[in-house]
Amino acid sequence: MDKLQLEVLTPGRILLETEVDHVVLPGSMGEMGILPQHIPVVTMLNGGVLSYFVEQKQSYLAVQGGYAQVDNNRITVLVERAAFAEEIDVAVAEQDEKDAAEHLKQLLSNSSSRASEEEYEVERKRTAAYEAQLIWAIARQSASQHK
Amino acid sequence: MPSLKEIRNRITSVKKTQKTTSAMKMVSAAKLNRAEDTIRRARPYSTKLRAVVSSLSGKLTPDDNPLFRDQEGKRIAVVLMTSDRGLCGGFNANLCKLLARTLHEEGIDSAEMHIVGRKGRDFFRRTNHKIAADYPDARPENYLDIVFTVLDGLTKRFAAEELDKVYLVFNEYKSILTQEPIIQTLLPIRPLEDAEETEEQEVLFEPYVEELIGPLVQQYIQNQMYTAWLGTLAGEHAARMTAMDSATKNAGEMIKQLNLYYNRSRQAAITRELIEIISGAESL
Repeated sequence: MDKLQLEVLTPGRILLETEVDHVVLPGSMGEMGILPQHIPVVTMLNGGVLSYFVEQKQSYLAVQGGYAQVDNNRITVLVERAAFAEEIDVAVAEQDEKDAAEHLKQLLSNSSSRASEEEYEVERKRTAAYEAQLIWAIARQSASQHK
Repeated sequence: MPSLKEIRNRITSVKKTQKTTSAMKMVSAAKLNRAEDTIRRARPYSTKLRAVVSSLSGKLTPDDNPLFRDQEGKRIAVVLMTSDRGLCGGFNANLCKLLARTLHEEGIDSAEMHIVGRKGRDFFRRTNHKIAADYPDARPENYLDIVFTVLDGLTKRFAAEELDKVYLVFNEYKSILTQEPIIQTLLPIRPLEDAEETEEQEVLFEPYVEELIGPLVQQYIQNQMYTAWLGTLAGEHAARMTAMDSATKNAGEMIKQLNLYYNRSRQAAITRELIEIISGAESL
């Protein structure tokens, strides 16, 4: 059977460059299973868990904010942040989530007094904070499931 | 002819300069290591993102996203990246001169400049071009904010047809010895010239083309600028290291010559004194 070439990159790091049998992407419209010979797709990714199979063995990655392109048995995943499930320290993730929530709260309480041109900035930070929250929560979940 | 003392002072001064330049070289080398590491890690992502966008750009029209709109015009904005400090050879000057010349050739006499780094600002302050914004103290920590402010404004105005082109001008970091000045057309987004011809095949977009392309393109532009900036950082240190290395070598050369000159003058003075003593003794 054909194989898929999977690449996962962040601006600071190449996480994966490997051959796999099957990939599950956290697409913006729900999970997407990708098998070889898939038609070309470009999709936004939600913060969540990306998993891939090599010889029946499933591995997990936490990803946040990005895109995936499937073309000619090659999957390119470009994300802002990513980590292997094994790398994630649950305590740190919990702290991050707490910080993000705190940050979000502060932004929301400040935003009413700010000028409208700064709304964009607030919106951006809010989304980032929300995504971070979501991602680490999911990552923590998956890390605890597969220990 | 300078006195012995003057020559001695000269030698001391050159030696001190040499110490400074060689110290600066060491500092730049250390900083370069770090900067080079960062850009090396950032590059694959940037390349892939570029490949994704350019593989799609052939399939997209200005109707899908206004940033693909290609039209002639002279309303130009330039994002220029230079360093804050000098003593790095022709690093900034070459880039600024190239930009000035290119704009001149295109018949543009007042482009709107957004300048990161003090050196670029100093150069273009003396020209007709309008400096819309400059960021003389762009530190790596607040860099993302700058990118957001600059690009958000520019892309919005481009989409609203207030600008015809946006250039990104920077030194591309090739290696320690070469940094290449680049003038890149950031907007409109054009397919890469070396983009491989993809087969005519329907591409599926999720969620929808309109929703996906906007953020993707935005991220692409931001990433282009980020990579350019990393290249500028690394390039600055590399250029300074090379410049300081040759300055150190030149100083060494100069010290050697001055020493030679000093010894010769000393010898001449001794000989003269001896002659004076001898002739004085003879006359007695």
